[in-house]
Amino acid sequence: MTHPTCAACAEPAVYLDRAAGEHLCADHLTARVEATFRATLRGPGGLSGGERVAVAFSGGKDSSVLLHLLASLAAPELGLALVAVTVDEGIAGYRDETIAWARTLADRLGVEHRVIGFEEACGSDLDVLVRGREGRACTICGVLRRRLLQQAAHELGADRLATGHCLDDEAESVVMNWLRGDLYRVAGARPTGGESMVPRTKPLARLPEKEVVSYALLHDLAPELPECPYAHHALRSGIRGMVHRAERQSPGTLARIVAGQSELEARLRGLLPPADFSTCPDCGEPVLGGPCRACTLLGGALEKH
Amino acid sequence: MVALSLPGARRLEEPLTGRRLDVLLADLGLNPCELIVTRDGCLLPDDAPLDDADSLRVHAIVHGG
Repeated sequence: MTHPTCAACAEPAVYLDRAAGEHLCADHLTARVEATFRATLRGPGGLSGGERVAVAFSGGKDSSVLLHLLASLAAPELGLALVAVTVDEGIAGYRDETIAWARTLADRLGVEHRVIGFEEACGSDLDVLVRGREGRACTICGVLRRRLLQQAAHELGADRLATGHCLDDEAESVVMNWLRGDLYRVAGARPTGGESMVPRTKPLARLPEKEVVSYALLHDLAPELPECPYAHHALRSGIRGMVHRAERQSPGTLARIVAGQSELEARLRGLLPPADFSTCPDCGEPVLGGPCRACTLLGGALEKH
Repeated sequence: MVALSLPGARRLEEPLTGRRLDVLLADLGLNPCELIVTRDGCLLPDDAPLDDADSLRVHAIVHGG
């Protein structure tokens, strides 16, 4: 058996696109990732020239690729002003190393970098907030992290908040919405109001995670870092295994899930009345009914401790 | 024997018996959609042929919640 070669040249392949049955070498995989990134940026929900963009930058592989592509390709091409925002959840044995890497990469790319700590913003770090309810760590962390990123983007005067969600994340979200019976999200009904919220953009949303991480390995964007000790608690980790098994059995499943959701949203648009944002009575942030989830979680946590 | 370095500092030695990379991974209960494998620092496509003396490093691509 000989090593497969690239479909576009004679170089050794580093990647197999199972859905297309096509091998790619390092240069052609790089070109594909960058072309898909550019096309996503120029599509619906992408970025416009001259915008100030806050980049959700955890220091993981996806957000490292996102920051690299935004800084090296999009910023010079579109005249973007970038500021990377890292949330320090305060997770012992995990966060110090990833934040050190985040500082190194932001510095290497010449991007302004802000670090916001759970302890400073929420009164406690995640390890304290989830004590005795570790099984909910990812839910609590996700709610608070999204809030802090949104607040930071607003305070930094950003026009957009860019996140590193890739195709796999998008497909998992579609499946999670179905499993939760979340009719509004399944139908793509967008709430109205909430003008103070900085709109999100997902420049990696059409790229499979395997292409993103391959790109990270090829471009020195994936140092050996510890895994989050709470990751295995996430509902998402079970969904992820399910969709990846489907992808293995039927290559292209992830892309079809996301394309099907887009088609469904287009066909159902306007059929459900949109929910309206109101204001959280505790913190004043936009919310869909009652106190926001962040205040609810923090209130419970503060009472407990 | 193929030597595999797995996420979490686990190590394995596995007889190759002519298997391709994706077949070897599947036999070990690993999904190639969730992994990237390198040999001497070079990325391997899922269907790469292997040599009996290969030393492989398996990178998990999945991340937290």
